[in-house]
Amino acid sequence: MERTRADRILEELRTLTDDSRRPGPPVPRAERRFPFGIAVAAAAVVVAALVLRPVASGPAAGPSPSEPAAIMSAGASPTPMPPPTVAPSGSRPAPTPVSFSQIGTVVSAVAASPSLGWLVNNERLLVTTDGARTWGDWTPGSSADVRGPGEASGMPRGSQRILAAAVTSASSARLVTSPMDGYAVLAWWTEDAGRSWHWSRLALPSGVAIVPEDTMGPLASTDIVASVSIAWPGGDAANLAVSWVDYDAAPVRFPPTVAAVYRSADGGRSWARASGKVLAGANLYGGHSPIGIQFADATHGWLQMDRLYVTSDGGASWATRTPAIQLSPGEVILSESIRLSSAAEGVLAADIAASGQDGGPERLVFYRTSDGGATWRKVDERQGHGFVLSLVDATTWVAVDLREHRLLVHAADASGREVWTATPFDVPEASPTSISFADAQHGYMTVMATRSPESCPPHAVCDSIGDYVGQYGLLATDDGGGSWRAAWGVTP
Amino acid sequence: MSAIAEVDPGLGYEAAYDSLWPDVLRLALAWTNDWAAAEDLAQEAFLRLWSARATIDWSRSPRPWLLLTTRRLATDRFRALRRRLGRPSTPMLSDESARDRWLDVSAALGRLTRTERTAIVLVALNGMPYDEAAGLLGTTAGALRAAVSRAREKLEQA
Repeated sequence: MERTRADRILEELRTLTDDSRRPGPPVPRAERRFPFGIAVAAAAVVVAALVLRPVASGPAAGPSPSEPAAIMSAGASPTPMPPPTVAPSGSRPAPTPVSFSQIGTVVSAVAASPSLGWLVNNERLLVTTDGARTWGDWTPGSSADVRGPGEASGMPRGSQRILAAAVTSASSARLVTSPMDGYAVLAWWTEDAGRSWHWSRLALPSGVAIVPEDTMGPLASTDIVASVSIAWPGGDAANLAVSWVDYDAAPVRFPPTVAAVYRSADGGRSWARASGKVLAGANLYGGHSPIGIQFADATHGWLQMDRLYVTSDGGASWATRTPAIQLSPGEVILSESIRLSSAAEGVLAADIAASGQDGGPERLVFYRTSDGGATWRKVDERQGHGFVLSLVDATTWVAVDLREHRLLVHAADASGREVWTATPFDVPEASPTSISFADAQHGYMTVMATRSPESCPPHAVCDSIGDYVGQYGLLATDDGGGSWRAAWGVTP
Repeated sequence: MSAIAEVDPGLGYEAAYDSLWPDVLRLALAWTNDWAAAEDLAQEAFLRLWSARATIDWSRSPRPWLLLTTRRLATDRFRALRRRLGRPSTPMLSDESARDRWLDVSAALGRLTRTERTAIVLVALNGMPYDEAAGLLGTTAGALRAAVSRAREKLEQA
């Protein structure tokens, strides 16, 4: 196989690091107690043990969450699937210019309907009601009258980090934030398009705090809220999932991640923790898995951490009821996405790739359930080399093939037959990072610049020490990816 | 537990140093793109391993421990280093040819974000599985793979 320029650069780095002058084990001389010869002989034995031992067998306290065996479930259908109908539409499109403006680090961009959508970065909640043509800044404290339980202080820009958001109408939104000191999670609500906000404090277990890892001392053992996710379709029922690393669990070095669900019966004004909790397996690096939550109704929902957990009693108990995904040797599940249409109906997509083969083949496998996850049926599979995905409903799925730069839309046609269409797009010097579609026609695509500047330029996203993080842009389509327009521009 | 490790954990440390130094240095390089800072970080990580040798389970590879420590040290210490120096420091490579080669590599890696650099080094050079590298960096396997793809694309254009 011909070596690419990237291969040559990496090989050069390998040679440099392998050949680097090793400064000798950084051990104070006074502490060395072993005759060198014995040490070398003994070291050889241990090196052999290290080399022969699979990396994944490191000092994890429990089963690795990524082990294929962790994906257990109720039955799956082995029925071979007919090849999907792919109808290429249109020729190569004109390039879509991307406006990399001060969009910040995009946490989420959601197309809720053809007109309604929202964009969250670390500091702001931006809402559109005209199909991503203009945006309003709904962030509490930006122009808002902020009221809280016994406190009149607002949310000055930069005082809170936005963790999750849900917007259900041109006036209603829910927001979850954490102050910079980390020792609280606040749930906010507005019913007047962000002009006034109210908030309540979530009762977290004692000692749990949201502490950005880059502010921690090395190996500090602080309880970190790993992630927060909100499911609020509107109305009175709302659910929040909060996860944190449980440092009280033994063994201490590789503690598990705990997730709990907080429920609201008054549209997010007050919250109470559900009795059940999910205990995810320990991570090899003491880390944690991102979290997602979705509820089809007041009692049926799922929680995503190291795997998918399902509840049918509002979070009092949880079980893994996902498909038995067939993996070939060396394959790993990159991600799983699920969309519940009702308590019984749902679709799950697993993104699977051979580990370590960056740029290698990847496949999206789709499963459906019609009994609340008790059984799953494999319904489709797509091959490619990298995907981002948006599941709209049980039959409408949208994916970006990252190598081919094609938007793949799966939907029912006029006769009710489910088909795929593939539409090429051209976004120069940018790589899609996420998509969100309201239906088969209307959606957003966040992209990241693939050309990095020498240093942190205006409008780029840089971290607190000035390191370049990336430049994000937002595109929108109203015709199923046939055309894209730059969708960024905040109205004052 | 191996017989050797039962004798004394210090021997496990020496072996770990011999076998894991390149992996640790590469991670530090990916994070900092600065040779001198990366060597400092790698040294510091091994010093911490030495300090913790009595509590380490030497029947298992200390690789995850070292990599996690290196990443956290990099996050913490490199910030202070950058504030102090303002600019990346001079490479500490003694060999002039190697120094020139590193400067070329560094220039190419400089086009990548820190996440992209770290992702491609962990996966393509250190041979780490996606899910393991994602665990180390606190992200998802899918996001990590996307970062690797972007990194490769940028390196092709470097």
